[in-house]
Parts: sequence; C-alpha cells; structure tokens
Amino acid sequence: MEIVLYVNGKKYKLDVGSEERLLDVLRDKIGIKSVREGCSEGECGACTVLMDKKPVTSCLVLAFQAEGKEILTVEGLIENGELDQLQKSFIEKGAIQCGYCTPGMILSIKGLLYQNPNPTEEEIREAIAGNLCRCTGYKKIVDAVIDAVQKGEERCVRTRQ
Amino acid sequence: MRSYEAVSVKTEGDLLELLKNNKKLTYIAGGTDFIIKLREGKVSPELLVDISCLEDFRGISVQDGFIKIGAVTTFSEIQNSSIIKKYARCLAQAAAKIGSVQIRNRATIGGNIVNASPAADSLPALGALSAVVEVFGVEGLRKVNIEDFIIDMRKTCLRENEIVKNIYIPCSPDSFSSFSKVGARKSVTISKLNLAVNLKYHKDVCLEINAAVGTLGKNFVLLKDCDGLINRKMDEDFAKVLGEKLSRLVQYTIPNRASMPYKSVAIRGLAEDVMEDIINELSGRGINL
Ligand SMILES: Cc1cc2nc3c(=O)[nH]c(=O)nc-3n(C[C@@H](O)[C@@H](O)[C@H](O)COP(=O)(O)OP(=O)(O)OC[C@H]3O[C@@H](n4cnc5c(N)ncnc54)[C@H](O)[C@@H]3O)c2cc1C
Ligand code: FES
Ligand code: FES
Repeated sequence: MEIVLYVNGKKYKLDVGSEERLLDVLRDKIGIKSVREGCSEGECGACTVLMDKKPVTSCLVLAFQAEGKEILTVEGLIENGELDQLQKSFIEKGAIQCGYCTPGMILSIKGLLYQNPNPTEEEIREAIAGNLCRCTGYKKIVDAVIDAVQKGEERCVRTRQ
Repeated sequence: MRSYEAVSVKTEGDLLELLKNNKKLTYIAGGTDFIIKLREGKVSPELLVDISCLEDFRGISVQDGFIKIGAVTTFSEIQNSSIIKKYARCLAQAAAKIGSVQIRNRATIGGNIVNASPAADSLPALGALSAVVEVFGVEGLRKVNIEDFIIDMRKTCLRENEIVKNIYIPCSPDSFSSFSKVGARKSVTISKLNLAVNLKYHKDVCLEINAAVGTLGKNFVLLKDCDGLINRKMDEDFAKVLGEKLSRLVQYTIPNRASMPYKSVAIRGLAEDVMEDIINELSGRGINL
C-alpha cells in the first residue's frame, strides 16, 4: 500500500507492506540508521522517534498507521551541518558512552521540551523512563538536559517541520 | 506471517461501510499489545482496520452527568485531562503509571480493556468508578457494565466485528477516588498488584465505597459497601480496616497461588497509600478529619 510520510521535513511517498513497522521503513526504505531496534517490544526506547511531536516507539507503530504524519529523528536536529544545543550538551557532559541509546534519549527529551521548555529533574527522569541506558547511570544524561536548557532552550523547542 | 489487507478508518461512516461488507475485521488502535501478538504469530487478520485516527471515537467530555471517554483516547490524554483529574482521579493516576511516555502516547483505553490482561491498570480504576462500556456493531449500540465486559481469562463479551466506542463514568461531585500499584520495575512495568478505591462522603463520613483489586484473576475483584466501613469516620483506623478486609479478599480469591502471601500483605500497603491520598485531598477541599 502507498503512504506519505514527512520525515525530518521531507516528503516521502512509499510503498509499504501492511505488516511493516515504522521502524522497518525508516531504517530500510529511507536509510535512517539512528533509529535502532533493541527489544522490538516497546521496552528499551532505542527506536524512539517523534510522531507529530510526540515520542513513540517506532517498533510498535505499523507504517500504514503513520500515513500523513510528521516524523522527526536526530538527523532532523542538525541545521547547516551544526548539531543543536541538546546534542552538544550530551557530548560535553559525557552523556554518551556507547551511544546506542542516545538518539532515542534525545528524542524523548525533545518531546518533553516541546511541551515543557523548563522541566524539573523529576520531569526529565519521567520523560526518559522508557529509554534504557546500560552505560551512563542516567545522571549525566539529566545533567546534559539541564545544561542544554540553561544554554538556550528556545533552540531545543524550535519547530522544524 | 500471512499477508493481509489493511485499511485506516477516519470516520464512523467509513467504519459502517466496512461493517456492511460481511468481512471479518480485526482492529488495531495504538498497537502496543497487537503488534507484539502479530509478530508472535498469535493473531492472523484477514482485514486489519486501523482505528487510531478515528476521531469520532476519541475525546473526553461531560454529558448528562456522565464522563464520556472515546475508546481511542490515549493514556497520555487521560492522564492530562482536567475532567478526569477532577471527577475520575483514580483513572488519571492509573493512566500516569502505565508503561512509559512513548507507550502512553499510543496505548488507548479501549485497547487496554479489550486486551483484557489480568494486569491491565485501567480495569480496577474503571471497576471502582462503576464504568459502562458502549459497544458499536452492525446492529447498533449496546451498553455493558465493566464487571460484565470481561467474561473469561483474556476474553471479552465482544461479538464478531463489534468495537468499543465509548466508556461512560457517572460523575458525582461528592465522590473521590485514588489508585495505587506495585510492580517489578519503576516505570516500564506490567503491574503485579493494583488497587482503586472510590468513595462517596458527607462531611468526614464514608457513605459508599467501591474498592477494586486487579491481577487476582480474569477480572478485577470488587469489594462493595462492606460492613464496618459505611457510615464510618475516615480516620487512620479506616485505612487499617479497609486493608484488613482487602487482605482477606485476596486470601479468599487466590488461596492456592504462590503469590498469595505476598499479595495479601502488599494490599494493606496499597490500602494505606490510597486512603492517605484521599484524606489529603479531602482536607484540600476544606474537610477536616
Ligand atoms: C512496554 C510496555 C509497557 C506496558 N505497561 C503497561 C502497564 O504498566 N499497565 C497496563 O495496564 N498496560 C501496560 N502495557 C499494555 C498497554 O500498552 C496496552 O494494554 C494498551 O492499553 C492497549 O491499547 P492499544 O491501543 O495499544 O491496543 P492494540 O494493541 O491496538 O489492541 C489491543 C487489542 O484490543 C483490540 N482493540 C483495540 N481497540 C479496540 C476497540 N476500540 N474495540 C474493539 N477492539 C479493540 C485489538 O483488536 C487488539 O486485540 C504495556 C505495554 C508495553 C508494550
Ligand atoms: S526496539 Fe522499540 S522499544 Fe525497544
Ligand atoms: S550510552 Fe550506552 S546504552 Fe546509553
């Protein structure tokens, strides 16, 4: 079946199978490899993307259900070759170790910042409760978010699509 | 996986057209249970109907003394709704404790009740609130009490092609409710024991009480207007008496299960959490206990 997706601001017309997941289409048909398959059942958050600005696990969305939706992945955060503030803070604060969880983490936080540009530590932790990280212990991730917010959250919440 | 046809419906009219075709329909809403079952080969649809964008079945409003919740309303929407927080607080609390943000952004209340897991968190909340399920089919609408909606382990009373349209909750301004659960992990967890309590009060006295415990069997178990709690002052002893009664209910319901000793103790803790929350809220409303 044919669907239209808007991924990182670009329109894609795609032929998808009725059993294909959004995750499969993003990785295999569009070639966005930052969206990762970990557990395949909604537990790890490695496949998180923003769908109409809300974090969802793309392993639990069938591609045809996403017809007409706007999808954002971390590739969409880069502007003129430059990382955005949240990405920079992740690097500066040591919030990335192996990096497997990082794209999903960043998108869950983007989803939070769209709704709440000035979150508390508790709200940050709640926003990433569905993103597992086996390296950092989460503390440095929370620090990175606080740093990014202090350095200008308006860049974090800008609308791209 | 066998291939199947799939279609998205946007309006009730689209759905009616499909229903008239005499095909067997399989519904998908948020997909958080369904996609896992599909990939395990436990379901094989002929025609898969996506209802996640069926706007006629979404939203929260108050109508003629009832809160109306569309079946495809997500738990994120329920958790943040001022109507639900005001009149059905235990449901807002249950919604907030389901899975993670990502899950709550997709998972719907209709899917949670139709999936009929013994651990579903919305079920005891809906049970304590005496919710009614509105079912839509070719023959029209029918209403079923939430206690009667689940008829066996993971089985509902839905007939072929029937779909849940709305859930109705009576809203009374002098009722108050609360939900609590314990589970293995903090956020992403299928609950191991959960409790919702809804009570009607006058001044500081309890006039009616409904307590629903989940995870004990095919459906929640309801403790209704029991002796010793009606017309009783809601003081600290109240929580103890409620905990004691619920503990006996657990022992009686699952006498031979390995989890019985744990659950019969844990339920007392849940009863205390829930009553503390209710008492705090009542004093917030200017009722001194
Ligand atoms: C990681 C993870 C954590 C979770 N944690 C919790 C938790 O803490 N507590 C909890 O209670 N649940 C939890 N769940 C399960 C919860 O997400 C689901 O039960 C959800 O509510 C189902 O809704 P859905 O819209 O995703 O349904 P789907 O998966 O789309 O559908 C589920 C079933 O219901 C049917 N269906 C859906 N809508 C309708 C309708 N309107 N009428 C008729 N049939 C319908 C479908 O055909 C299917 O059989 C978790 C799930 C995951 C993946
Ligand atoms: S791969 Fe989707 S949540 Fe783990
Ligand atoms: S950095 Fe390795 S999993 Fe998070």
